[in-house]
Amino acid sequence: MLVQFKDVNKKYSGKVALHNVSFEIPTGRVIGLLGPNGSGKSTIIKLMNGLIQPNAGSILIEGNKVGVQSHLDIAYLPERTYLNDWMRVRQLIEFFSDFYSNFDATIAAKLFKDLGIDLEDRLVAMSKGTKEKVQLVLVMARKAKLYILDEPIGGVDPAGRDYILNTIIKNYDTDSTLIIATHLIQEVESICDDVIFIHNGVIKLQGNVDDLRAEHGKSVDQIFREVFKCY
Amino acid sequence: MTWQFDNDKPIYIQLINILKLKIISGEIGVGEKLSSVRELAQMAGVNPNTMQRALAELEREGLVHSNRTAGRFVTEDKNLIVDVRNVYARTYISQLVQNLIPLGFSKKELMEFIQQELLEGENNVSAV
Amino acid sequence: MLLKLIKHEFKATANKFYPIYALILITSFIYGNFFNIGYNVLSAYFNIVPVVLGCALVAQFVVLLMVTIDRFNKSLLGDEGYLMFTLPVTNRQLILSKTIVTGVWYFITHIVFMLSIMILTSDMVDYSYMFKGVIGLNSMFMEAVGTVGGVSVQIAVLIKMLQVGVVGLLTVAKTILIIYLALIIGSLVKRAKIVGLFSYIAINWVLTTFLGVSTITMLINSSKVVGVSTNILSDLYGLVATGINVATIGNLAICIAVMELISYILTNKKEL
Repeated sequence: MLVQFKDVNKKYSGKVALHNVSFEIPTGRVIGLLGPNGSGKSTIIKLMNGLIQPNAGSILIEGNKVGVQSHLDIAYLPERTYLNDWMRVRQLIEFFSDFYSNFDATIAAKLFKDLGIDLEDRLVAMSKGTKEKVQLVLVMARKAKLYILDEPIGGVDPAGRDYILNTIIKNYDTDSTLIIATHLIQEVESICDDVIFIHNGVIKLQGNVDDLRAEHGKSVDQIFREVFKCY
Repeated sequence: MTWQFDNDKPIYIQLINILKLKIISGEIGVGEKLSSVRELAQMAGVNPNTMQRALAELEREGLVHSNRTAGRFVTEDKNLIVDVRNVYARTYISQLVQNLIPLGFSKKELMEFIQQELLEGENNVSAV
Repeated sequence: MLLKLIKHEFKATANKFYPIYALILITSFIYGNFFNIGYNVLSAYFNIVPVVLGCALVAQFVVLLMVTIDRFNKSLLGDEGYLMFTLPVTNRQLILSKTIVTGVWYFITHIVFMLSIMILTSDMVDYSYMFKGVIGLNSMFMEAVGTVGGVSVQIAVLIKMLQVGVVGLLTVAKTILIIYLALIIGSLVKRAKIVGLFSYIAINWVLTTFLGVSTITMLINSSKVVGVSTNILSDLYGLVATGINVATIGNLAICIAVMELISYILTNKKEL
């Protein structure tokens, strides 16, 4: 099992963010972590990355507690711009190569070339969409065991979205797992194996995408709307 | 250009149908070697696991078989392929009949329409 | 990993310091050698140079403080934290790398200050005399005979110099770590950043009082014992030794405690 959450609870100043959340994610899957804003998706992701600690419960990544090893095993794409604006793309490649032994600078350079991004460009001079693509390339150029993408297509135009989703499929290693957290279900459901629906800190639904479609006779997007229509 | 899918139905089932069509139409020849799961998944624009599931089902039906080292191949059994093609035709026609009969057409009328359609098709071909 | 963090930290801070160091050294040279270069040529600018130099000398310390605060605030407490805290490094390594690099810049800044003064006064003061004096001291040192506290004078002096150096380093580290602690406490309280400033003052006051009191206490205690011996040099040595050792241990303890506290807060309490 790659990811194991067991009875995880998290509170933020009185408000319950996650309540007794348990799930297991194996290797070689593409998982859609779906839910409205404020449902607990970001909390789960931050917990996996060790950015916050749970109040109760355990989180294991490849059998290890969250720490230096799990940071190496996980390639994380946050929702926001988290890189130093003044750095050039070339410097970013050097930085990632330095700290992550599983970063492939050749692949990164190739992807940047495909996107027409010059290695000497600084982030500060790029549009928001381009910055997001840079961040995505840096994550996908890593040979990680777990990729966590938080809203990877949120602020991007439809053509950009297609490119991003295709890049994700093309470059993802079937020996690893990809978790995509998003509220844009329609766009990603065709590439997901399984989905986890979360709302108000509780897991509402979990299962294989094709099985859910067969069972409900609907697309995952439709099922989602029905599950959450009361909220 | 990736293949088109309907998100309302399981994608692996849609993949099975698309692949079957390619086999019975001859687009993928008898006994031909299939591309790897990864390549097929990329062509189709789907998750490799989903493609794997579709291929496994085709194997179960005998249309495709896998050789451990060499990969996947379309069956050599031409009769099977012909059978599948016939089933496809009959299903299609059965749907056609089921859709049109309730509209009040008689069987004779339907037969005439079909013959007309086929003749026009021939004429178009010979004109070209 | 720690070395990589240090390397990255240097790269990120270097070009904030180089310009001002260059400015200081160049203006010091110009001002110090005005008469050599040609009074007539530069007389028009005579008044500006010392002003620029004076401002630059002060500014470099301001830059130092700002860089100290900025590197911690932006890197760890801001959005860049998403990058820093997901690197395969421990929180302690992150804190330590910044402390070390800031400490080095602290020393370099002081050295530049001293160099500036030396350059300014190079035509008035004979620095070769100073170097001769150092060489003289060195021969005195080598030829000294006698023992202090069981070891030869030379070794005792070297040990003392080493200890003083260590205390100096620890004091710098302590100052920097307290700034970090104040910053992180300030960030926990959402209301006002001024809390950070107050925390700094408060923590500093508590610690220096504590450290000061304990040093004096130990000095007093050890001097009571010292009254028994007859060798004044030995007594003095013992007094200074105790003072330095208390300072070393005290500062080290404070550094470790503050570091652990910062690490704890970063891990458990800081919500990005």
